[in-house]
Amino acid sequence: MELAIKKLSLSIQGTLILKNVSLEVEKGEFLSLLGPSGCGKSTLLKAISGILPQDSGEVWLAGEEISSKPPHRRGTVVVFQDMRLFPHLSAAENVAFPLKMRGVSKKERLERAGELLEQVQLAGFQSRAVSTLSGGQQQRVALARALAAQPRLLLLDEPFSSLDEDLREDMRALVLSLHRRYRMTTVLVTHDQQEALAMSDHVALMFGGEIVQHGTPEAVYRRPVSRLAADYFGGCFYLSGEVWGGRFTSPCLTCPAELPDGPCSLMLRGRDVDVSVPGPLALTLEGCRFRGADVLAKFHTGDGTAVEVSLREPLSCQPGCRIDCHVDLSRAVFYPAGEGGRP
Amino acid sequence: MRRSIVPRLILALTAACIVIPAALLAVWSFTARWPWPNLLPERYTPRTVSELLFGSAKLSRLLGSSIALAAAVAVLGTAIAVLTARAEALYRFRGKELIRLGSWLPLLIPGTVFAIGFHMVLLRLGLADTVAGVLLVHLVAALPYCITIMADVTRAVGFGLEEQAAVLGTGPFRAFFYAALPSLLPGVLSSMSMAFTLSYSQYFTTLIVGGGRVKTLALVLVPYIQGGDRALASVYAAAFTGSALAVFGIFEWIIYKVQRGGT
Repeated sequence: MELAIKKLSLSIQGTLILKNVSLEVEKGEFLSLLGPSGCGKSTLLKAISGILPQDSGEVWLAGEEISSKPPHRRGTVVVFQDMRLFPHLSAAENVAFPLKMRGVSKKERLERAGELLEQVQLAGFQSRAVSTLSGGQQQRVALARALAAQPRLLLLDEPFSSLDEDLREDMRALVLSLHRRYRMTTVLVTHDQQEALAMSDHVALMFGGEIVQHGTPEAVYRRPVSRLAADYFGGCFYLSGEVWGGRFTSPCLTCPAELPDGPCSLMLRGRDVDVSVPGPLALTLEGCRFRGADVLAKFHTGDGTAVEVSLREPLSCQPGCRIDCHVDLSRAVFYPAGEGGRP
Repeated sequence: MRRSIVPRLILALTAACIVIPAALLAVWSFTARWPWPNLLPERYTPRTVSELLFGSAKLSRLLGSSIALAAAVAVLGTAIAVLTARAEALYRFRGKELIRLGSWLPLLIPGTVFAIGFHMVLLRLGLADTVAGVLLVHLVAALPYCITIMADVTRAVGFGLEEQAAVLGTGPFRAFFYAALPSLLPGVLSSMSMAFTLSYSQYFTTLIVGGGRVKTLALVLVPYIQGGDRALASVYAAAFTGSALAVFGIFEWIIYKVQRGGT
């Protein structure tokens, strides 16, 4: 285990931000801390790096308890969302900064800075003032500077959120290629679900200062632990009903369920519904909306639950018509009634 | 595109406000006789300059002591202000508002009252009529300005760059000096210039607290102006302004060197 956080709690000005957080990250792993803004994910990053002092709990890095160490002795390097380049230094001097602090000679550190700038595709930018660089270029300099410090743990705090969408994609690819190259244990903080799912070996989902789920991207997406977690990824709907003798029964759908008897709700995603194949789920069409890459068809079930399905072509039938649809029940997730978020 | 004439007019007016008095000062410095209504002086003389350089007041010594005193006030005042501003702008602690108010108090009390009160305290401390006493009174007078200037800059710079330096493996002191201080330097320059000017131009406090034993350029300048020897007053005023400008230039040069030293 490279990074282990044990029962970490942290409050800021009397408000408890992190509640008993435990998390483990393997050596060389890429983990995303995913959650809505204000859930404490950036605070957790600051606690790991020692910028914010914790109330209780432990942080272990490579078998060593580091929570009593100051930030500069931890070897945990943060790339902040606002980049924090040193404005009085050139691009190469920024990258060379951690080496300078270690007493590496000027010639050697500027040489290394040049190599690193090349790796982040900024060859020839050595002497540029950082204020003349674009947002994406500044982010690359910040990344190169973090690599120059040879971190034991690389912490990325929403590093792509200030960039344009196409640039963001490039940066993600660059970060992943550098991660593969250096095999550096990396924790990425993000509120972008797709980013977390697409980039990481593991995803830790955070709500309200707690890690509610930790697993592979597939597991976290396919089997959300709660309705709150399912809602966070969006595109889902719930059918409420009851389980009796191994069968789930709701006004719109009946299916086998290996659950104890009692009321519960079944979560499905719009993409698990196939309107072109007849099946057990009766939906009434409300309308279609063209969105460019797809068409969003809005339906409701017999008991009024809204269902949105992405289609390639608009449906030929009129609003109000009833369609019996196939559903991929292998993707269904059951939640006890009254659990999480909504009643 | 037609440029508006207003900005240029304002610029010209501002330039005139600086250049005309300065030119007048230069001309008056060498004037022996300038009867009304002549446009230019009737006779010129180097008397004032030789009086300035070799006269009873000894310019070189005056300049040396005045600049040393004001520079000490600038450096000490700014050092205190950097630390106070850091506490005030970036930390939360009990009694912070009290300190903020305290840093403003010397401005709220009239200068004369302040100087006499300060003198009484220094008498008790045995520091009256000494350079240290004058230094203290100048410092207290300069601090409100220095702290205000530094607090704004410090708030703008924040902890961000130091945090970044720390996670890159830099200890707290070096993080401050290498990461935060370079961004604070423009404020440091303003604060030092402010404190220098303030100390350099103090008359009343220097007179009271220094008891006439601590001589500064401002102290010598005032009797010349009051004495009515316009030429001599002018040459002293020119020396006063010129030396202050030269010191500002040196401050700026040092700051530039320090900033470039970060490479």
